[in-house]
Amino acid sequence: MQSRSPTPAPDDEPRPRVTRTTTFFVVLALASAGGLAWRDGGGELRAALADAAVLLLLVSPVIGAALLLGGYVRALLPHDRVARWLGPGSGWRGYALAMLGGIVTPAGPFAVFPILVALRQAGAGFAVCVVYVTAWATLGAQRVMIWELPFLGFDFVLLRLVASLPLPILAGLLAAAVARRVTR
Amino acid sequence: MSFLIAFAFVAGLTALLAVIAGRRTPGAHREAGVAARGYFRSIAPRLPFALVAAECLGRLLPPEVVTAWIGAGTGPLGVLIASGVGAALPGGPMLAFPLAIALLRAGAGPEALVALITAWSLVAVNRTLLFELPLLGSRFTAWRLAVCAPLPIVAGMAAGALMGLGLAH
Repeated sequence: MQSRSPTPAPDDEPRPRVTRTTTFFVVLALASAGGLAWRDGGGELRAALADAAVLLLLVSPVIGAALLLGGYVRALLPHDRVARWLGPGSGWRGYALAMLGGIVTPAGPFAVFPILVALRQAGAGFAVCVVYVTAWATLGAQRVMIWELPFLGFDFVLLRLVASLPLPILAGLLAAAVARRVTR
Repeated sequence: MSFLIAFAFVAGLTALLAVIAGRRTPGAHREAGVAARGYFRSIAPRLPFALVAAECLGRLLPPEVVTAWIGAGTGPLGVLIASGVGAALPGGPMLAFPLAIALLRAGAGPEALVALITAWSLVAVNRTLLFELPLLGSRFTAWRLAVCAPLPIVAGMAAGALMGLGLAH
């Protein structure tokens, strides 16, 4: 069905693109730092770099712990089992399972898209697939822990999660309305 | 302070999962360690640069423009603009979240930020082009995006309503 690489790269790019993405960040950092120094002077750039260093020190422990958490979620939750649960899902039970599955699926496109392919092949409808991928994108627990919590804090995370809770079901209902046009 | 709470929360959850995984699957600790190392290796070299970029971009953004367009109190129009910005935002979470803090500091309203993050998470240009389009086909991708189009606005408005109710902030 799908193969799991022994050393997963969880980010938004496949392994060979890692260096190119790093280059992108280096160039972006240099360009924005250069722009800031040119417009506001070296003092402002030094203040920005100091703020970035403090932020790095503060978020690193949280990101580190969340990465390990992601490792355990991966160890506890093999892809193929998620695909089996969500199979040709029926009605509200399928929606609920798809939503739950999306929330616990690890961050990064490496898990979610192979599962979606497997779901389609297993006969899952468009609506269930949309519920699953919407729950993963808007409520995915791992991304919340690695990125959102350390950077934006509990209050904001809580506000966004509560506001986003109905989104997967809403998307599923809209998807069900157009599902017949999507099936090939 | 909020970093301490966040760390305690995530570390506690990790410890809990580690105990469960250790009991249920032999070799779970090794597998988790290998996975975490893989994540770390792809994040560690870029994170410092992403943070510097976001910090400098945030300072380059004129605060009066940010507050005028997506500031607190800009309401539905701010949510709509933020949704558009989020949908167009390239890159993964490493850029999006540091940039979100920079916007917050420059005066963006929380409800607009909710819309921005929701739009980014649903559209994510690179991810869609690299993974969804080739794996699931253009028909699936196009209809999925069409169905998800109203969601950032719904989330932003819901966040605004929750704040109005005094349930947050």
